Amino acid sequence: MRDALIISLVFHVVIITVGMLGLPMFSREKPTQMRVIPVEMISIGEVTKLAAQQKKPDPVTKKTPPKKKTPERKVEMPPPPPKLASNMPLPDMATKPKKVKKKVEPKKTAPKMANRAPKVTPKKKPSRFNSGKLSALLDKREEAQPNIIELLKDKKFGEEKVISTVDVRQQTLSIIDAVGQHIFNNQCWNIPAGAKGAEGLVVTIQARLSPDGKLIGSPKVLESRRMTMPGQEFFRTAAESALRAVRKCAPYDFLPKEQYNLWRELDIVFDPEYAISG
Amino acid sequence: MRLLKILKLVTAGFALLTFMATSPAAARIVVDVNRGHADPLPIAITDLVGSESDIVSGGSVKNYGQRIALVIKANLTRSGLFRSIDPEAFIKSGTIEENLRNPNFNNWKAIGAHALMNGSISLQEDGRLKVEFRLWDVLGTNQMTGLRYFTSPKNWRRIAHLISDAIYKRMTGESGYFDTRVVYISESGIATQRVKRLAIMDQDGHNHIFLTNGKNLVLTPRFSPTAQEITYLSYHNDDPRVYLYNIDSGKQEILGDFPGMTFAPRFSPDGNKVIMSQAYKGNSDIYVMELRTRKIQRLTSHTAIDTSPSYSPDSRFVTFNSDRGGSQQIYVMESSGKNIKRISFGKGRYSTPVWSPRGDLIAFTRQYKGKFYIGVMRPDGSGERLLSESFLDEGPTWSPNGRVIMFFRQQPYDDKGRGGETQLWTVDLTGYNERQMITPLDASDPAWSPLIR
Repeated sequence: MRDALIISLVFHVVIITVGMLGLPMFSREKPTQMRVIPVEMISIGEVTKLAAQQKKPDPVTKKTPPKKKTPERKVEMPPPPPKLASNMPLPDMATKPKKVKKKVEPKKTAPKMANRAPKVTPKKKPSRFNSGKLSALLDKREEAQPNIIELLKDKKFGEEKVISTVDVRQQTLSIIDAVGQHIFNNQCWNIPAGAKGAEGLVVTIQARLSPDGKLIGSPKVLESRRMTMPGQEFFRTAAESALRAVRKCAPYDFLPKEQYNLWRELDIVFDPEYAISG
Repeated sequence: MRLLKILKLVTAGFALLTFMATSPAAARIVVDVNRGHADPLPIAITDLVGSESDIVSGGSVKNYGQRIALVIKANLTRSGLFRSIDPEAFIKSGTIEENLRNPNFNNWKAIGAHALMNGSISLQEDGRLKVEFRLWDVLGTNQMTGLRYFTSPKNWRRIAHLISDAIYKRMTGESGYFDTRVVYISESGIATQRVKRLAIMDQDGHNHIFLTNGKNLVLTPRFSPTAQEITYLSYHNDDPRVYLYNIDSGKQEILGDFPGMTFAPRFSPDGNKVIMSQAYKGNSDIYVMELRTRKIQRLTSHTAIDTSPSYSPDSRFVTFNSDRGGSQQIYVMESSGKNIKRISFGKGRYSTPVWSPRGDLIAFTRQYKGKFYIGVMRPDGSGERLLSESFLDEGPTWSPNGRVIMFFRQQPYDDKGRGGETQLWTVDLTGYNERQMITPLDASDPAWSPLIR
């Protein structure tokens, strides 16, 4: 009995702490998926408009062109809203949705299918959506219990797919482009020119932003240990130049407030290699 | 057994956890920034605060503080990596003490400064000056470095150079080159009767001294990388000979009496050997001499002219130029003389290769279509870049940190035989920051010292 108690206690504690701390620490590499961008130039156009017109005009312009699209998606989305929310960058939410996912698997499959065939124009998607949903539903009814393997597959697919939902992708791209342009246009980044071995001096700065675009706390350098290691003076210099850039360019108040959950935490990668040779 | 069970369960639990942890994506947006500006970093350098009533030979302590700040500004600006903000723009507030210990970063940020240097200077009872400075990160609102020096007032310039080096090192991650000297050949007189004297000065042109009187022709001075010692070529009884000259003691000695003519001497990185060319029976080859034992080893034996040898900083390789391929080109070999490989393949002629003290590049002179260029390439011959171009650019020498190259430039003669002035110039690795050194007379063949210790 005691053992069982201890074991169950340990489990509970671990699960609860994970639930409280969230899992973002484990998933650092995920962002690369979002960086694979086969996407249309359209979104960038929107961004530049965004940057030029500032906050208020942007949402209007955005909404007007995609109005036709959004209703369609809204129609589609209602079933999987929990998934979307779960996969969104909100770190706190991450744990809870997992549990939900297991139970609501069929719904997940539907969005996955949608994403699998995303390269087709959006109008075609709805039809596939439906079929996907249907098949998923069918699966459930026929074999409710033995589908563990399928379930696992579904989970993986579900994650990738949800992230790359066209809307989120476009918004993400807009934000990426807007921040990049902001840093370049305002001459915030002074490249540490001519350092030996510039290839190895890529620095990632992790910044937390408030809804009005201000930095929360001081931005952090990924691998900040390297900054104090002997023989890594060039890295320290590069890291400090990147930190200066992020600080100098704050506040980032041009970012669309309605998408705050997308940009409340930003990883900004400074790569001096091309910057120097160019 | 129980323990085993518990262990199993716990590991299973962790496996489950890691699965859970990796499965959902708490995605963060990643912004790639790969365009930036290579503008000089704006830095505010304030005068060192000192007492006006304390008088040292040459001025008040306050005055010394101002002069030191001026030298630091000039050094950093000349590097091309910093822009000193005009003191007119400084916003004044708070007491002197407050500003020294806890500067108002918002004021400095407002005028665009990324870094701030402040400090103080005071007279000690023993007649020495105490100089303190702090370097602040204005945007990060913290101190980056701070140092204190004691020195006699006449060494105030060196203190300024040492502070410049400390700032440079902290901001760029690379050691500085301001506390250094340059030897060169000072030239005067008409073209047919040039008087050439060995001269030495600080890296910024100050403290200029002539080392020789000009009776004997002096050529190709080279600094030892480890000591304040020079090797150079001088004509003795009409024979060119390699000499050693100790700057501190003024002692001069001839480096062996060789059967043929010796020239183009250069120290090994540890300062214990001199590598040079020797012409014997009409053929030039490369030799190296151990300074303690005076033992000589021959490195190349080829009918072509091999000259201008220079060691890599790890002493494993030697670069030199040779016309063995038909025209003058740059070669690299192991320091034993084996595995000779040609590395320059561009059009024109390549000469005077010099290995960078940081090892990543070889500087050279290139001659093509009637123009001269100073350039750099990697030791494997790739990545050739030309940094300067003129009627005649020659004789590159590296700053000890491998960031700046000094060379000499000669102006063309006009129809009436006027012109032909030679001056020293510096250019940094970007190729954009080219500056002339000021010397009292014409100048050629510079050699940069290591950091003074």
